[in-house]
Amino acid sequence: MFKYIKEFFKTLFMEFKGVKTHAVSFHTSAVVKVFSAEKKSINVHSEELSVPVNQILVSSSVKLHDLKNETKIRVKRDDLIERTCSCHEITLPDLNDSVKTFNADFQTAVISKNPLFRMRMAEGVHYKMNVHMGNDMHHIRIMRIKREKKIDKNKVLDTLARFLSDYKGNLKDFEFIGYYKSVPIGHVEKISVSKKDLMILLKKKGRNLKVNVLLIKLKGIYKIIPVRD
Amino acid sequence: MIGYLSVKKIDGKHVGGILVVDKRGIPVEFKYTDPVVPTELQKILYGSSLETYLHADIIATSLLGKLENNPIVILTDHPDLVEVDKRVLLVSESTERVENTKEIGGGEYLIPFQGRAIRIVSKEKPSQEVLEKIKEISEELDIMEPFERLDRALRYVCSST
Repeated sequence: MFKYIKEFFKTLFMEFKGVKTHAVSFHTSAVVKVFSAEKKSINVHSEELSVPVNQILVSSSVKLHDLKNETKIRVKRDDLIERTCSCHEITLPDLNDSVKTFNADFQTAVISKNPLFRMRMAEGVHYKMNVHMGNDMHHIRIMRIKREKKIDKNKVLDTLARFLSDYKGNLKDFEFIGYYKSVPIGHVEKISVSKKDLMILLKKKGRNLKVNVLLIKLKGIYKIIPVRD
Repeated sequence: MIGYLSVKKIDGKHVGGILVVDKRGIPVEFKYTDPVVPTELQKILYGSSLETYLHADIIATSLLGKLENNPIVILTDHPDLVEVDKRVLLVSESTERVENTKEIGGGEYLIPFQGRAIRIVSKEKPSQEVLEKIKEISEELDIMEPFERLDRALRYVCSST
């Protein structure tokens, strides 16, 4: 008997008490950033803005008991990055109804926690190119002259015949390497041979002189013979 | 005088140089850039256009802007650089044999070179004078050889920084 009386008063109490609703506010901060690649250091000001919101759609997945104080909701709009929404004195309908839409009186404002801040660009996105002069660099003064594939046989044979007529040594020690055109002989500082090509270290200043040459080897030593025109 | 313009990517560094030689191949002027290593941010921002932008708009343009001599033609071995200046011509060796300069269409020419030919590609149609000059120089000089010197010099610049 006592058990039934207790249950009766408990039910009655709940019906008279109704649903007590606390003010619900949503806080979130908005930071408006202006990013410029052109400036290394920029100041960014963000001002307080007031944006009216008529309606906030709440996802059906949000349960009533999820809406507590300090619940954060982010509202996205194209003209703002984020907004703070605060909701006051919402009277919720009967607990049994499913609530999906609020048409209450909302106030919104854009808030920046950092109203003034400086941003330093750690690195630029544009290149600034330094150009140096390298006229003294010896890498550009090493000229490779390749052995000619097409040769003027008459000129080559005539030059070789004149050379051999004065040559007293054994012909076994003689080796023809190649014919080379337009050797800037007036600028030669040093000549070496690499894979039958002439490698010439050019002087910075020299005479305007170039000749066609033959390269031969005598007893293992290279010798250059100018070809007469 | 003839100019040689080249841009290389060596060990992740982008570097460019321009070499001007006289008709005997003697160097008259050489200018080069600092090697550039793009940052991660730059790679993201420029995306796939990074190398073209860096090579053509930054490196080649800077080099041409600092050139003291005025060569009649500037040869390059890099396709992106043809767009930079109408004096810049892309040159490569061809296996074709030609006796005389021959237009093969689309701003491309074959010029006799060492029994074969060199292929010239330009942004604008080169003048007859320029084509004649290239032919004349290629008869006297290994017209491709200065690219080797440029390559060696740029590798040295990259290795020493």
